Amino acid sequence: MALVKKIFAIGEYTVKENIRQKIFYTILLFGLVIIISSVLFTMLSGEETRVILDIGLGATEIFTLLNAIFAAVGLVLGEMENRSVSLILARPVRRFEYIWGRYIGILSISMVNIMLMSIGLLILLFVKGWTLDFRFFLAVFFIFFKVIIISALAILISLISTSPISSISATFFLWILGHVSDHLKYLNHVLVEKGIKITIFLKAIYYLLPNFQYFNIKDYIGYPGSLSGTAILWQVTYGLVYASVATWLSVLVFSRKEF
Amino acid sequence: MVAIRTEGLTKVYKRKYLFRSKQTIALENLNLEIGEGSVFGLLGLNGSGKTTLLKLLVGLLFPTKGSAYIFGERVPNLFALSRIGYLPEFPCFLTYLTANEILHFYGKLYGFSLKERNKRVEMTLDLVELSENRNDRLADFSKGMLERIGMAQVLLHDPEVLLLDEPTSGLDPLGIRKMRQTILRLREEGKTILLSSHFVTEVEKVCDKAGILHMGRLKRVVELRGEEVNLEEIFAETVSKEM
Repeated sequence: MALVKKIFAIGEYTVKENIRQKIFYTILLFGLVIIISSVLFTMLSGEETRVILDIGLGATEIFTLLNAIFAAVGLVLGEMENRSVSLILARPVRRFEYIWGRYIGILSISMVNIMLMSIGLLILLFVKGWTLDFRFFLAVFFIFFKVIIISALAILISLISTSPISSISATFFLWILGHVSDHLKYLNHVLVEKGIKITIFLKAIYYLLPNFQYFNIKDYIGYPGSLSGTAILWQVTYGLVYASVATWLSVLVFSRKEF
Repeated sequence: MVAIRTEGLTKVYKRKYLFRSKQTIALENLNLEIGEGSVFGLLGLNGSGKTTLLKLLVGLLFPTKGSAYIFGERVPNLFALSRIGYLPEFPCFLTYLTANEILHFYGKLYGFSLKERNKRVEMTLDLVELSENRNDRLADFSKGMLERIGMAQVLLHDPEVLLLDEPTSGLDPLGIRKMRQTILRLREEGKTILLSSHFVTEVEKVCDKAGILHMGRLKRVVELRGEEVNLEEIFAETVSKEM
């Protein structure tokens, strides 16, 4: 019980830290502006709600992800750089409690971010006469799963890296790679045909990189067919396992750090 | 009873630069015993190992060799940490929080209930004379006020052992006087205090014993109570011998 209380105390102060920084509101505001301005793009296409939905969910994902990356890098690396972490670790706090507390705090703030943007998007869609598709909530749920993975990776990279810029760039790079990792399979196929054999290397990268394609549910909204329960269960399991391993690695790295 | 004990405590910093590595011995084979209720001053030049010793005692650094004990408990250890109050040389806080919030946050890490935290936070803020600034953000605090918040976070959980790293550095004369009075009051309350300092006169005024650290080695321990000693001269003599 004491363990949970400490983790939540650190999580709570992570949230406070994040919401008192201007960047949180700037990112949120930008996200909402993009969602609202998606109305302008509907002039380019006949499918009004489809355009709003695509831009809206895309903006929700990108801006929540940006906030999660800035929070993970800024708060974890920032606290190590300014040494305020020593005043926490000089108390009866285990290193893993600190990492989990930070992680939970970042996820909580991301959840708030996603909820606010999704509400904004839903209002806009209803105004435009959209009929509710339950898969919208599933899409939002899986955007959060991307955040679960990328936040865990951002914390890990912050602990290894030496500067905020390199941490942010590396995490962002991983996020992009995570969306194109499926192409590695195709690349492997092409290379094998040309007689270049680096299969093991490409396979290793493929399995190490997060596969964010699993979580792109927004592509299904508005089209016939549905996701099977097994597929959803697999996606949830994959996300949780990937994030747990990344967080476990963070704890391992952090446990060896000296301040 | 022995409050703080070290056995062959050694810390070697290893720095790696591409293909080269460099080792610096910060603390070498330190054997030290500090009795419960006494005030022990660590004197030494810059880089003598004072801060390293304090950080080893709170688990911020890991020993290369040897071990340290707080009331018989080998550190780092959660039980030992709950009995320690640590003030770093340059305490850095999360400046977006108010004085009240930061102390409540630290209180939560000790598992205090809200009622208990309210009582302790009020008491410690009173003690460091910051009650009126309780709702001000730490970003708006002066250096002296931050030092006082530093002391408040040390006293919040009423620790039995206090580790103070250069507690008077950067303070104005009035601040130094108040810090000295606080240390003397804590000594009267029976707290065990290990403080590091550059100021020989401050150590003379508040400590029962002084240890002279030089280049990571404990060169000498001087009794300061009941004996007329010229600590400044002893310090200069001990340190200059090796230079």
